[in-house]
Amino acid sequence: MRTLKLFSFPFVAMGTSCALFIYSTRNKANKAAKYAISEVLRIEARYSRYRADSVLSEINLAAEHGAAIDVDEETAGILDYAWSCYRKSSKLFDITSGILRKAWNFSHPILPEQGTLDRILPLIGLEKVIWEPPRLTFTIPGMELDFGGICKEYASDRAAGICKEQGIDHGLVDLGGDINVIGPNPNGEPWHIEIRNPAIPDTAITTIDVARGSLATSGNYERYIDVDGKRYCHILNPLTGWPVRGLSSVSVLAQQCIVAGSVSTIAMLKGKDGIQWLSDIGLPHLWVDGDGAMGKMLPELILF
Amino acid sequence: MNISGLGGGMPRISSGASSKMQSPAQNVPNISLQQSTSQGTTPAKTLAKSLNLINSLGNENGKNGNSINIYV
Repeated sequence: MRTLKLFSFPFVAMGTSCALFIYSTRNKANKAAKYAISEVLRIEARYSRYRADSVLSEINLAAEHGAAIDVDEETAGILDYAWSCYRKSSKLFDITSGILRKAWNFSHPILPEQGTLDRILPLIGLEKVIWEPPRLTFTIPGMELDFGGICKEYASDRAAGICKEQGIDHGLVDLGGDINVIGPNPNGEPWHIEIRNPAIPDTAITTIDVARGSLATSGNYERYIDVDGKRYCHILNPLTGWPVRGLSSVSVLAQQCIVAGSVSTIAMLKGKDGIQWLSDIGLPHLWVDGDGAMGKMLPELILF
Repeated sequence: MNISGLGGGMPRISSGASSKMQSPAQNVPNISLQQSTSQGTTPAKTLAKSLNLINSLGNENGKNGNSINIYV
């Protein structure tokens, strides 16, 4: 039996640094990586809000005019998933909330006027969109959808799935911190994944051993502004238009990255209530609050 | 092998990475938009599985673990 070597494939997609790590033979690793990365780029091309020719841009054109649009099977699957998250989160995980970008600029430490937020908030709320598959109907002109918080995680799952189809049993997909562990190294050793300390940049607060499964983290340290000694992070409450408070970081492990990602985001959106919610959900997790307290529910080894 | 700096942020190979880790630059293939010929897992199947999982959460699983608070 040939010894499996570790090959790494760094690439950029969805505005972030990504990488595949694959234990295999060179040819097999190259082939799997080519297909997996192609799939990530395919998903990016379909759901990027920066591309005028994307499916998402087509949807948002309909949204802008308060019109209806029929979507394909894959997009319908994403919308079904988004609606479930909306219900699961008591309307906090809302793919219509991306429009708040028009009020918040995290490049400059300036808070938006409440009046600006008040004008945008009526355009937010998934209940204002009628979803009767495959038809999506926007009842109010000027709304928009944003699949941030879903698509990168979904792409991580797809890339891992394609690697497995290509016969890869040992490896890891990392899309800007959205991790899907295909399998442990050939000796059975799990991947040791460090979780960033939200209070101290470039340090780890803990290490999690993952042999198989996914890990995603939401944190208030990715993009934020400090105004008058107060931190305002990029995770916005769609009901108020203001950044969430209470938790600094939530990491969740699940069989699929899309689930780990949405559960960690929902917990952040719930603030301190997210701690009990995470416990009720029952997935392995770790949270850090604004005072630096940390709680976790983690087995020694993650193996989904 | 260590992957660090995760947590929504930018991952990097830590300074303590295993010596088994090869230099990334040696192994980068030419990437073009190309779909796998395998029909095993389709996008729709992947999403259907995700939907089932998110819908099942909190229904039965919530009573499993104990949360441990650690103050740092």
